[in-house]
Amino acid sequence: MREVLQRLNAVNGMKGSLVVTPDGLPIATDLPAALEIEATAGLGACMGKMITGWAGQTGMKEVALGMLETGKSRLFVSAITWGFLVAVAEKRCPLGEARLEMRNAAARLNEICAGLASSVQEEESRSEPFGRHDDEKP
Amino acid sequence: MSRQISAWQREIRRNPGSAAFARLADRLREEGRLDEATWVCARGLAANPRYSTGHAILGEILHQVGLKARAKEEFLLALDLDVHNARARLRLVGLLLEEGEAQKALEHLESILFWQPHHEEAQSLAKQARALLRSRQIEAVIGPQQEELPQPGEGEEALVAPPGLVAGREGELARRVAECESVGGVMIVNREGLLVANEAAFQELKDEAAAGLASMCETSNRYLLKLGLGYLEGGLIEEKAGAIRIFRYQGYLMAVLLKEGAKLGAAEVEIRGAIDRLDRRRKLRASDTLSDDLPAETKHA
Repeated sequence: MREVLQRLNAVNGMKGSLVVTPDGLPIATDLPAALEIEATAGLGACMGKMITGWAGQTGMKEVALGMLETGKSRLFVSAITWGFLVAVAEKRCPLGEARLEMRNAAARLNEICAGLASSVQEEESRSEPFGRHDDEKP
Repeated sequence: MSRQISAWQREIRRNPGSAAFARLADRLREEGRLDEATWVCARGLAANPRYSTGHAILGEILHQVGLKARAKEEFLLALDLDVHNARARLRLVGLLLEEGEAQKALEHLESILFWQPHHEEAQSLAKQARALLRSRQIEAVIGPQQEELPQPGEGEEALVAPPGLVAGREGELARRVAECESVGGVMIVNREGLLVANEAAFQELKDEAAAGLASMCETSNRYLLKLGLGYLEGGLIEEKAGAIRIFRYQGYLMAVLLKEGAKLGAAEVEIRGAIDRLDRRRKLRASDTLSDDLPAETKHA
């Protein structure tokens, strides 16, 4: 996941990016020190949910990308299988390239998520009734 | 021992198969694959939110990542769900000791040592906690830095509304923009979140969508300020079939639906052109009202 973020961050003017769960838990981050991880993750996920929620009201079925811009920055959000990909860029960041790389990164992250989901299924099929909790002493 | 087994049986009956994701997440954590471990654990907990050990493992992962506050929340949640979860309690103690909260750490350790007086890790941590208390080496916990945020509405910056966008005449601008080749619909919402004009495909939209747009923009504006990124000026929402471009002006929000296949850059030029043409028309109308005694140069200008 980190490699995907690093590639995304290579876009000119891109400051950093992260993968968050829908409730704002940071899964993978590659952010500059100026951006606090927990705040960016929490607020990024909130903005992602608001954007997809409002787009649904207008009749959009599947939001591929959301972008919010300020006088000096741009914040990109893409919905992925298990949450959101959030990226923060400077305003000078080339919009076309950033949008393309966001889409590529989201597709790659979805592949990774699918791989992990199948690992969980394998683990579940292998699981024994009392296989865990060795360290838990009620 | 039989008490332990029956407790585990109860837990497994409550969450059948739930240990699988936790075991995988724990293994990924041990291998240092923290991103994947977080993902697996968060996903598993969404399906099994009352699985105490899962929360403890997620706490450990977050602690390792450096997200101590979130880790603490997970340990506390694990203990809320299962007060006897020694793993969660020990990790919480470790976190408290790192923060210099020796007294609180000791209280948790006493709880473990009451039931398991020979628990080695708990004994060792208790020694550390007592040493910290005795030598008064507890460092003051540094609170999170509170950045001064501009108050919403005070000195707020947003794009200056084009001269064509004035109260009572919003419909004219909406019609102009809707006439653009790449535009499929237009919606203008005022500061109060009320729909003041809508054209073409957006004619179907009701007040709820207008209020939703206003709420989304104002909340996002606050969040962007909190992140130190500045005031919201606009946005873009894309799907496979089209896109919505949002402009945030002083007192107004305008959402423009772009037709499928429309190029973003070209559409933006076209929309701005339509706004400018209306602005020029308004200025021309204003010049008609100028009195004849003004100098000719001024009128020409």
